[in-house]
Amino acid sequence: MVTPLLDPTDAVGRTARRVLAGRVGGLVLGLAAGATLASGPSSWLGLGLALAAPAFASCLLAGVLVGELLAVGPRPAVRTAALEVRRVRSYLPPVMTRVVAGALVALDVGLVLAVLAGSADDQGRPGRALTLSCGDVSAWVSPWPGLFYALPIAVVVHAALALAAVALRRLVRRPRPGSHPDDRGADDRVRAASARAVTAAVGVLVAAPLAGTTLIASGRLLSLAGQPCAPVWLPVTGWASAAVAAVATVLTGVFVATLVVPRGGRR
Amino acid sequence: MIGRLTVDTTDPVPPYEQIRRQLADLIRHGVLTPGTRLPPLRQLASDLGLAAGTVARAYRELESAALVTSRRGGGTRVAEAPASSTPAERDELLAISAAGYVAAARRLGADDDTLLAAVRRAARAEPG
Repeated sequence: MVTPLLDPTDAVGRTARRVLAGRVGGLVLGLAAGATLASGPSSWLGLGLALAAPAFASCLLAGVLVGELLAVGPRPAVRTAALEVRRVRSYLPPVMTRVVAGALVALDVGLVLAVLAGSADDQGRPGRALTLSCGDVSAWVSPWPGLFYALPIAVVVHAALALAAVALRRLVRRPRPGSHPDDRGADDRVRAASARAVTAAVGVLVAAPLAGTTLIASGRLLSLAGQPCAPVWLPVTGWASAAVAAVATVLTGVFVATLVVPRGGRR
Repeated sequence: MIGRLTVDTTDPVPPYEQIRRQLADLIRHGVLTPGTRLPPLRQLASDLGLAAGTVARAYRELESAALVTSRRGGGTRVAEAPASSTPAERDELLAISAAGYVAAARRLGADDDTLLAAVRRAARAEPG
């Protein structure tokens, strides 16, 4: 016997509810994980704070992925598929995606430069200090966002980027709910909302560590700029880092607001 | 308008053959024009709840029949000069489609009058 087709209205509604439930679950879990890391003991030397935002974003990405995985309802015996090519870029918010990509490049470049400039602190922790040598005299400041902080940040951020890629692939490839052609628009809005959440989560993932590392770096660079033998580029780099930190902080706020106050799938 | 595929998993015809037939019909009758990109294998398999290998087999057979071309990174597209169907081929395709419909209707317990009435209603809904 042929199984009747599912009611398309219910199918789209059920998909939207499951996708949203996954996203909200990820958001709640992310807030808890972020708060736990941020309030870590002082023996972590601020590493928990540095990883709080990436952990929040990772949980949210996992929530989006789980929601998209759960979105598929029972399959009827008679199945239909539109002859369409769905692409990730059709669902991504174009402007936000470019901003996030730019922030990612800035973070990677910033971390590499910080690692190259860093030196070991008085306890021998690699890259946790910035040293300025003036002949026989040297001055150093700590903490510095060198290898000690940059490596775990880079690992977590790039692992979460892989998770984001999986979530995006899933939201594009999951089957369309219902069988009525008119449901495509509603389903596309659900996918676009998920893609927007992924983009904003990656935005937090990237912009928050960028804000933190550049803020710390600017403070250390400007404090060494007062040394007699400080090169001219030191204060310039310090102020440039401060500017990047300000922009990244604003972006982090925008991305968090995007996640917490969803726009119902509009782009 | 976007073409659609339907796969009946209770049909004795294997799903890959159902996909192959429907795509071949759509290409031969010009619904899918040359250069049109077919859905990616995994997307179509996911949409139909089938294994990727099932859709891959349908695409391979269409490629063997020179109806589509596949290129790494470029997906699967309708061939530039697909063989156009002759009246005899169209009659054959019609007969195959009719046989499939009759088989499905019989499984539902429809007699001749009921299944013909359904065909007439469908024809009225979509006049030629």
